[in-house]
Amino acid sequence: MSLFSRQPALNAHRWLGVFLGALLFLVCISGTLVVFNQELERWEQADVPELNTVTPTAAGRALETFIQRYPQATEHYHVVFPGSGIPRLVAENDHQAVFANAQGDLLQTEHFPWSKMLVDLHYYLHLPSTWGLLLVSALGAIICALVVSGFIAHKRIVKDAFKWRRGGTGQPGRIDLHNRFGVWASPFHAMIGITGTYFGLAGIVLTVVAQLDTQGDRQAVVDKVFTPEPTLSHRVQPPDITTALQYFETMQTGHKPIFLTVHDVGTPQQFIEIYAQVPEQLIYSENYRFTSAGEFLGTAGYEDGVWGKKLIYSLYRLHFGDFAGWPVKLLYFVLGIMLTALCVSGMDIWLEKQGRPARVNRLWQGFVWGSISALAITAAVSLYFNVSSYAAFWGLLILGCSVSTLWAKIDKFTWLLICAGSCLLLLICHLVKYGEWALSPASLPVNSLLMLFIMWCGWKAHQENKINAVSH
Amino acid sequence: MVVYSALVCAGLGVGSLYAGWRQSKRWLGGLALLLWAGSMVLFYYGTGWQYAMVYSLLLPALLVWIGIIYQATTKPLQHYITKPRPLNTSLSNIGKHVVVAGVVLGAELVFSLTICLTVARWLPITYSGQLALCIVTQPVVWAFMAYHFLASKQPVRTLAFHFIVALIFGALLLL
Repeated sequence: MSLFSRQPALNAHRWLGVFLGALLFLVCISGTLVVFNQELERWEQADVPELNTVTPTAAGRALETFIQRYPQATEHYHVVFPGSGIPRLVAENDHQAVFANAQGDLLQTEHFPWSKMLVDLHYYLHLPSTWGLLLVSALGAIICALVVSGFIAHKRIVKDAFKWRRGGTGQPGRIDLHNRFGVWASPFHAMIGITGTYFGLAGIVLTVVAQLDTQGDRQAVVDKVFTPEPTLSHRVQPPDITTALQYFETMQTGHKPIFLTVHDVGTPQQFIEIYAQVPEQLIYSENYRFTSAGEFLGTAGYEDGVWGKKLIYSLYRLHFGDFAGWPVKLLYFVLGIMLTALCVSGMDIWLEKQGRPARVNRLWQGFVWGSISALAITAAVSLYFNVSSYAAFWGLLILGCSVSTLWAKIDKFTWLLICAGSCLLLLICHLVKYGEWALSPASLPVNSLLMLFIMWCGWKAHQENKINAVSH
Repeated sequence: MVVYSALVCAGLGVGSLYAGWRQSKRWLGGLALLLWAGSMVLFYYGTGWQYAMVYSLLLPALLVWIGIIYQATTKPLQHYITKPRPLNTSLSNIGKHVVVAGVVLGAELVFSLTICLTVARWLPITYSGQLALCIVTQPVVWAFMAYHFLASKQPVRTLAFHFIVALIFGALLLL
């Protein structure tokens, strides 16, 4: 039997999908939601005033007031502009972030524990950061391996290109959906796998290359690939970001400032760096560097840099779909749902072929639907109480899995109702907490998606009820 | 306007592919490819080549669903019960899977990284280009090596083969 015939490919595909299915599901569902990370952060603090532009004077005033109010030692100050994707002005150091209004007056502290928990789930699966990052990156390569083995295993790609057999026992439809999602969205799956692997792998590549080239000096390798920080020895003075921003405006670059960082705070090497998004390019930003007094030093040269530097600097935006506003985010969200559905349908197909062993089947259902319910309930709780979102999420997920495994009455129909109920609870909690703010542009996109999901769960539960009626 | 035209062009491409698939006419498939290329060119004029590449590769995944939903067939629901197969949850079987996971996630990572880094550093391109190439190709090589290991009838021999290849590349890397 050839290595590229159907059965060996199916064996490889099955092992990868079944053995790592649960981890893949968690990474995919959290990644799909993280596409809307900025929208979720806005939604979690819906009552913060929003603005589309900010003047250099207001930004300078916000940072000045912030430094006076929070004088603790820090290596950086950041000012995040409304062009960052969140139409708010934020001043922050390494410990604290505070919103500001259009005049530069400080407002409430930034606080989005649930969004942070969600991002950490996607980046690290809540494991210790290095190991978590490595595991999640390895899952990127596993997604690539699933694409490869899936294509080799599927011998009727052209014949079945538009096939979808619904109804019947459910299994043919499940297999068709799995194959259609897998084949047509394969460029997205492969791209997500490759770019996802980069985040954990970059550190390993850097370490190996540093050992080979620079006696273990990782910073020296970073400086060779990217642009090194300017070597300065100025008199220490408060950063004049107003002058720097005014100069940036006169440059008329056509680039949208995302945020600004003051590096090496309180040292002679202190300098200001403005990160600005470059239209029509996937690079994260072009960086404009200024002295503490606001004198222009030069750019980091990403926009016109060599292709390797640009490629590495493009991987973040390419992975998260954060480059052309909401239409691309929506495209990534839908394709992310397809990738998540692939994980679930793949495991369902395997379970069906095993004759749906009762406890394993219920455990899987509890894991899939329980994690969605746990995310929703955790979000609702974190809107009101200062509890650990991490503990709440895992506690609820373990509870859901245990109850589902041990209590035979909890089937998919019940889980769909639990999911719809959890999301409805979240929606009500948000409406009660934020009142009319819950219908503001900061909240409406997320609340609308929640409403859509609740309706989908209801419809799906109705379908499931029909299947149950046939079974009985 | 150019972007909308590109979207229409991509849609027509999918339509053409679907018609070609239904009627088994290859030329319609060729036309679909031409229309997709046309949509990529239009996207290029509207948004630049980097975004154009992304849109052209990702959009068909959504657009084909018009064809798939149109083509869908529905049978009446039917119930059937199969006898659950016993799952092998013995310690030895679990241990075997854990070892396989260690090979796929750990050993193949090291092997693929060694091979990709060596090949990338041989190429006469910029330093950052070498690293970028290594970062982009490594997951793909990792995926193929994992597939080779998992699909092989003699996984130990396959693993030994990967190890030897990586060892040779590793030696060349250090030279």
